[in-house]
Amino acid sequence: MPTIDQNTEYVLKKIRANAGRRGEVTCVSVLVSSFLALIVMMTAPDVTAQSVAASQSDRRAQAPAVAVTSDGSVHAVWFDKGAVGEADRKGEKVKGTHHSHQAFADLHYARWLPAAAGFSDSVRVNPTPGQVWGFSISRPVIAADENDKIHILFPGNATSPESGKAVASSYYTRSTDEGGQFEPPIQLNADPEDDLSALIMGGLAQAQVFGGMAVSPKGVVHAFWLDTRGLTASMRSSLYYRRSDDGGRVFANEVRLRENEQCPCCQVSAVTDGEDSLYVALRQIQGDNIRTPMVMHSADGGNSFAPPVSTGGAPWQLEGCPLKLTAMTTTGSRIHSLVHNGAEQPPGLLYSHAPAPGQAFLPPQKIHPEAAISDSPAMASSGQTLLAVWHAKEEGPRQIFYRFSLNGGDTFLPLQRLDTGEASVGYPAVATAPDGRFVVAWQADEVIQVMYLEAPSEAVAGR
Amino acid sequence: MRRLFGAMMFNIVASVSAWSAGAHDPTLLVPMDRKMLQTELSDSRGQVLLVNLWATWCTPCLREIPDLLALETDFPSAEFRLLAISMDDSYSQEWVTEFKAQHFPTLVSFINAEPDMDLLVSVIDPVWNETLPTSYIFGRDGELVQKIQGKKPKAYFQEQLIAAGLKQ
Repeated sequence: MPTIDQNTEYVLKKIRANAGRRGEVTCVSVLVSSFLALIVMMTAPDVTAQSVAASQSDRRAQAPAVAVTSDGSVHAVWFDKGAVGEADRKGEKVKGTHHSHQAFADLHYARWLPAAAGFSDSVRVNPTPGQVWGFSISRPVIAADENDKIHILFPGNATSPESGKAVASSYYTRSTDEGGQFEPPIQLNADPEDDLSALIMGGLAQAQVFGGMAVSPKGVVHAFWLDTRGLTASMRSSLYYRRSDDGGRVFANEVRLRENEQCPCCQVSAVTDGEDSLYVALRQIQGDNIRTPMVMHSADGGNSFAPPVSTGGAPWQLEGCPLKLTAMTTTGSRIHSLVHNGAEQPPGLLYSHAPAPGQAFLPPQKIHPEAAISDSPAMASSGQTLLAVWHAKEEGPRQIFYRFSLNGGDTFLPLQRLDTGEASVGYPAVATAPDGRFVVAWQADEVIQVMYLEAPSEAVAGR
Repeated sequence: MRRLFGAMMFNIVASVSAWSAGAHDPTLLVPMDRKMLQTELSDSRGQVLLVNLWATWCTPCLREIPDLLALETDFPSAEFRLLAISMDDSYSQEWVTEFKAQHFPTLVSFINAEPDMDLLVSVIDPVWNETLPTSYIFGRDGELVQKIQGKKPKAYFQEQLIAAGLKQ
C-alpha cells in the first residue's frame, strides 16, 4: 500500500508518465507540481468567509456533531454548558447526589436551511434542563436517513431506581419533521441494579454511556454504548447494542455484544454501508492494559457480528483514561479508520483501511507526520472521495487540518489547514451532503462553527 | 467581547483569591490560569516538583492520588513538592472542592481556569494528548525530566523522583 505521504510522488509519477521524456522530468515535475500547488491553493475555500456560527457567542458550546438531509439542510447538535461566566449550578436542580463523574449540560440543536444565511436559533433537545452528561470526549451523535428523519444519541444523567444513586445513561431521540420537533428521549439501556459507586469512586453508581450510532439509508437505527454492568476492579466495560427496524419508533431488547473487555472511556463509533453491512469501532483492553482500537463487522444488519479485528499501530499501554474515539467511513467495500495512538512518538493519528469486510487492516500510516500531536479524528466519504479531519499542533497552537483522498484511501492529497483565525479550535465533526460536498463543524472558543468543504476536482488533483 | 471580558474577570478574581487566601491551602481549590502555572513552576525551583493532572471523572486518577499523597511523607517538604491540578471544568469549582474535601482533604490542588484544558497544560507540555492521569517531574533546576502517563504504583514514582535527585 502506498503511504499517505507518497501522494505528491504519486502526482509526479502521473506527470512523468504523461511527459514521456526522461531528460525533462525533473524540470517539468517541479514546474507542474508548483502549478498544481498554486491551483490547489487558489481553489481552497476561504474558510473564514464561509463558516457560520451555529451556537450563540455568549454561551459555552462543545462537542459538535452534524448531519445533512436530502435538501441540503445542515443539522447540528452540541453540548451547551450554559452562559459564559455562569457558575455550573445545574447539578443542584438534578436528582441524585453529586458524584465524581458529574457533568450537567444541555443538548442544543439548530439547522441551516439551504436558502438561509445561517443557522436557526438553537433549541434544547433534552426536556429536563441539565439532563445531559456532556464532555468534548463523550460526544452526541446525529444522523439522517433517506426519509429525512433525524436521529440523535446522547449521554444523560439519571437516577437509578434500584440504588437511588446517580447514574449516566444513553438516550435516543428523533425528529420526523426535519428538526421541527424532537420526540421525548428514550433511555436505551435497562436500569442498572448494582451500586458500583465504591468501585468507580465518588458516587456515580453505574455508567451506560460513551455511545455510538449508525443509521442505514432506510432508517434502521443501530445504537451502541459502553456499560459498567458486571464491572470489576480491572475496570473494563461491556459493549451493548439495541436496534430499531422502524426508524427509531420501537427498539428491540438490548444485547450485550462484548463482555468486560472495553476501555470504559473510549467512545464507540459506528457506520453502515447500505442496509446490511454495519461496522462498530471500539477500544479493547488486552493483556496488561494495552488499549487496542478494534473494528467489528456485521454482514446481516446487526443480527450477528464477526470477532473484532485490530486497526493496527504500536501497543499503547495505559492504566488511565485515553478518551479516544475511532473515526470510520466506507468507500466501496473498504472500511477506513482514523484513530489516535499514544504509543507513537510523537503521539498521533493513524490511518488504515481494510480492503473488504472481514479482511485485515493494512499497516497504518500517520496521516499528519509533521504534527507534534494530532487527535480528535472525523471522517466522511462520497463515492471514492474520502475526507479526514482532525485537530493537531505543529509548532503553535492547536489547529484543524484535513486531507482528501480521491481514490478510496490509496493516496491522499496534501495536508490543508482550516483558516480559523486566532480562536482556540478543536474537536471537528464531518458529514456528507447529498451533492457530494462535506460539512465540517468544530469548536472555536466554545462557539460551534460550520462550513462546507469541497474536494478538488480530479483534474486539479492531477488524476 | 463579552466572552473575553468574562474570562478576564474570572481570571482576575481567581488570581486575587489565590493571592489573598493562600493557593497552597488544601481546603481551597484555586483556579489556575497559564500565568499562575508559570509562577508556581518558577516558585518551585530548588525543589523536585511532581505535577499531577487529575479529574473527578478519571477513576484511575482518583486511585492514584493516595499514593501521591504518601510520597509527601516519604520525602522532606523542603526537597519535594506535589502540585495537583484538576482538569474538571473550572465552573464546577464549588462541587469539585466539596469532592476533594471529602476524599482527599490534604491534597493541595488547583483547578484549570482556562476554557480548554490543553491551553493550561501547554505551559508544561505542548504535545499533551489529553490523556489522564498525566504527571510531570521537574528537577531542582526547573527542567522537566520525566513525563508519566497512566496510573503508576507508588514505587514507580519513588524511583523516578530519586532519579530526579531526591534522597529518601
